Amino acid sequence: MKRVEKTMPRVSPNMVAVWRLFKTNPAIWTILGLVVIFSAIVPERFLSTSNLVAILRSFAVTAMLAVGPTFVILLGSIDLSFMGIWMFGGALVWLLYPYLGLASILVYPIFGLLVGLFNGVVHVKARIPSFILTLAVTAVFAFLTTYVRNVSGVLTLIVPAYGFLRESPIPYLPSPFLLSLPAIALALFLMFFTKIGTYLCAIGSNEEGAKLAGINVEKYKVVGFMISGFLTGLGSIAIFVHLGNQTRVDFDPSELIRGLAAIVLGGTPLAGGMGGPHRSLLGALIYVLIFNGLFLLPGVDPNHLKLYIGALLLGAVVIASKALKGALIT
Amino acid sequence: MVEIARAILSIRLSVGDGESSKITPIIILDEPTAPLSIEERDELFKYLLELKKHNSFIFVSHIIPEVMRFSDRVYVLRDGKVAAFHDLKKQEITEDLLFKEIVGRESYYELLTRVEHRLVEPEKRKVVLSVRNLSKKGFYKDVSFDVHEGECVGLFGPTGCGKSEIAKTLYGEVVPDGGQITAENKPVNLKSGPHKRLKLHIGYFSGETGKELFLYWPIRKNVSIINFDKVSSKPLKLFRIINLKAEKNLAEKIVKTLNIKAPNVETECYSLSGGNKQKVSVGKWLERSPKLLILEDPTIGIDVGAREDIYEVLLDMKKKGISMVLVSDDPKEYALLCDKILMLREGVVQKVMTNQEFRGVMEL
Amino acid sequence: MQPVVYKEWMQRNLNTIIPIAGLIVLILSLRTANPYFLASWDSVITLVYGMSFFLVAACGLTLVILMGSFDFSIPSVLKLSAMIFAVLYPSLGFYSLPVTLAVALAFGFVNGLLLARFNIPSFMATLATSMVAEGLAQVISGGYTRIITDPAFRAISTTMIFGLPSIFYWAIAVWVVTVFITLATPFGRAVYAIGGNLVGARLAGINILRVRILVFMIGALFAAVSGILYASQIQGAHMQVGVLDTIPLFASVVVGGTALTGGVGGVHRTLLGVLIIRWLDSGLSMLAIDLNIRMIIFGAIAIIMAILTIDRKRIKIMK
Repeated sequence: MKRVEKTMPRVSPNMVAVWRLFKTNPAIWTILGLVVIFSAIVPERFLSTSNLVAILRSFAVTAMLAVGPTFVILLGSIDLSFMGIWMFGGALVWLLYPYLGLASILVYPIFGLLVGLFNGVVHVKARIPSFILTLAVTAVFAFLTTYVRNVSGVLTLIVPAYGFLRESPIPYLPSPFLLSLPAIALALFLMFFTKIGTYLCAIGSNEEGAKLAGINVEKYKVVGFMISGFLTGLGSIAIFVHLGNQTRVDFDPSELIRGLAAIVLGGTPLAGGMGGPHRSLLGALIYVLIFNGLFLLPGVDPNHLKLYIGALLLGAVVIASKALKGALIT
Repeated sequence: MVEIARAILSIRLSVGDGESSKITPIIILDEPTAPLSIEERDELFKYLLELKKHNSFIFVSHIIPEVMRFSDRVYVLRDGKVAAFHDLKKQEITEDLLFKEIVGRESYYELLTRVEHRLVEPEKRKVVLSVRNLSKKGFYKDVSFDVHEGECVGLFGPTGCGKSEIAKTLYGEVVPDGGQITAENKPVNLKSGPHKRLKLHIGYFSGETGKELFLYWPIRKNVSIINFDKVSSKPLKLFRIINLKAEKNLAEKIVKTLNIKAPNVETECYSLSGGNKQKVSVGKWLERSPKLLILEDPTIGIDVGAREDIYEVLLDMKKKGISMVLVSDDPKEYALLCDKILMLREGVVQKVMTNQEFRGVMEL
Repeated sequence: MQPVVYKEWMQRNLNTIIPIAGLIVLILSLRTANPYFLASWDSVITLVYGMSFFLVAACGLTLVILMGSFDFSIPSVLKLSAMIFAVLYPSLGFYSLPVTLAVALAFGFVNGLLLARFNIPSFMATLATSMVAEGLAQVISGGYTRIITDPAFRAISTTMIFGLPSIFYWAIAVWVVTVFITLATPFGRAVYAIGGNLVGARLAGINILRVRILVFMIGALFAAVSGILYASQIQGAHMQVGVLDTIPLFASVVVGGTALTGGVGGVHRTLLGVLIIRWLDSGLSMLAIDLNIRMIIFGAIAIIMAILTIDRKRIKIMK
């Protein structure tokens, strides 16, 4: 920071702003570095149009798993219920399609909002650690989804009528990416154009202080969880479409990690108080770039996929732990 | 300070905006000066006296000069009952009278005059701890002093002068940038944590009860946590086994010597009063008897009677030859306990005084 | 005065009353629903097989939770250990035991180090290491089921002593040792101290780094022992081992009365929790209730018990 002040007289304010942006978001450097590295090693495969479109697709999916929970992580809590919302929300869409028709896709955000409300109220009133509460919620909904699939006697919970959503009106921009834009826009709006973002950060960095400053901490905690649930529900539409108008029916913890890894890689510390959805977007891009590039490299065995995910996440949490220095961690 | 200002500001705003609303808000001040330094206290009171013209206050404090200065009427509470009532506008009372009423007996002023302070003869005594050029950027700079056997060294100065950081550094809670600490003639690894300091016979006692005490543990466990070598056997040379009987006896001994008011040693500490909690904390160190005990605000937030008990324990430990380093906000505490006082300002040692000189400067 | 004392006693001992009452209600209702439940010695042995390996893993998890941390990697390490043992056994015989235990201890060490040295929340760190363990299990087994037919290996868990299989005695031995460690040694006190008041534990001179790493290593070690016992019991290992154990394991710890926030409860309580969860599991499966629904029930029980056991007045800020 001091160096910025020194160079101020010589450089235009715009340059300083750009420099500061880069300095405070190391994620941007990482992204540029990854792009350069992979373009250098496997240029023809990495920079092909189809690969770039694939990157955009998986970016949309990963971002949708990360943007919502970021709001809860700002609070210093954690929301793992996104996986449950995504899985069981899809089952609900499938179940309600015969009754609601095409409108049943709207069940997703509503369901997300309700789950967020439930999480928030139980976390605040019953006072149990958020990670275990939301993990249980995810587990319950995941098993319910499997149960719905088993009971219905079908193999997948696919809703073919939404086929039109898969066709993108704009060439080269895949439809999951377009469908993720509303959630991204809403997240950025809530973060930067309302007082909610500031309040959540305040609670995350010093809850007692926030209370003394007159913030209704309990209310804003619930609001944080509700935003998380709603954005996840909204974003799950993109994932739903990406997977071919269906939802996941078997629980896989690595998907749980995907969202968390994007948040952590983007630079929102798990202790809360700083960061935001904009960083999670960058984090999602990093995550996607690493995986995309990694599997283009020669000699990578897809059988080792889980091992790589684990190792990558391990690296990510170690890198992100810098921001947790001095905090009391259990 | 900021919190007080903010509370007052918010009241100001809510009153000032609507001229029509003629309510006079009551401001409750609960030990408002506890975290403040002496200068800050003066500033706060200047402002509060100004505000007193318009607002009503309920002022809760155990610092008697503050109460005398600020209040119109004084209720003395003891054991949950109003023990005395004074209208300061109508009658003149002395600080000592209030002290007596709070404690129910003579105040520790008397203790203060009773304690003799030997002049330290450095050449005759062993150096327990020596600190050389200790520095941490933004907190303290080039701090050097020696602590001799049975000596209490005070670090005195306003809040923010770096005294509590120095105390924490000595116990390994804060890592300094540079300097040297020598204990038992061996250099101490500056990065090592409290567990290593404990092995060097350095202890740390803080008055913040919630910090060092396990509030939901019985007294028995709280006392034995640093005294396992006294209450456990080592049958297999590999690990210790706690002897519950010995543990209980130890706790009972401490409860008895320190006069802790508790039904039995299985009482969970959260149900004890502030003073008794502190006694449990200091009791475990009494039993451990380290060579050096670091005291940080040892009597903060407790009533005068319990204070006196704790001072007596500490003076007793001093007599046994335990050295101490004291950090506090109360000048009387330094006058009572310390043989040597380092005056600190903005992290730099300004002056080293003997107890006599300190009493003279502070008019005690 | 009397009712107040009674009420206070109830509140103070809620953590003990609920599991015991739950167990009695459970046995009675299962007996009513199914007359064959616990009707013969064979059904008792079946139950013992169901709970023994589980108890070993639950002891490790309880230690970690007592310390106020969480370990997601226990089921994965369990699976990995069973897999390593099963893969190595044909070539190394019982020498594969030290290899397996060493790998598990390495996982525990990394978990502890990530928490204590790098200051990463334990649930996050162990989620990551559990992925690594899963990945390793996949890599070394190639995803195939490994079968061991050696009767010597099977004898570890199935030799009958006084009418009960030996796996029962292994589990009880582990349980007794852990109970002893937590209740009667300074190390156990340190675990409770870290869970109860981290700052206080540090100030009392407890080597937090060492205790944390040791506890995670013990957790992983018990997971490995549990995995090997289970492999011996089922004569091999497959990729589904441990997959469905996370929720029941967690449920049995909290149902026993160990609070999630640490410092309250104990390994001695976990035996009760394991009994309840395993009996409930076998009772429900006798009633032909779908596995997914069973998991949902365990999840719900875990959350309700977690809410009941956390002493909320102790904690100012809940994250």
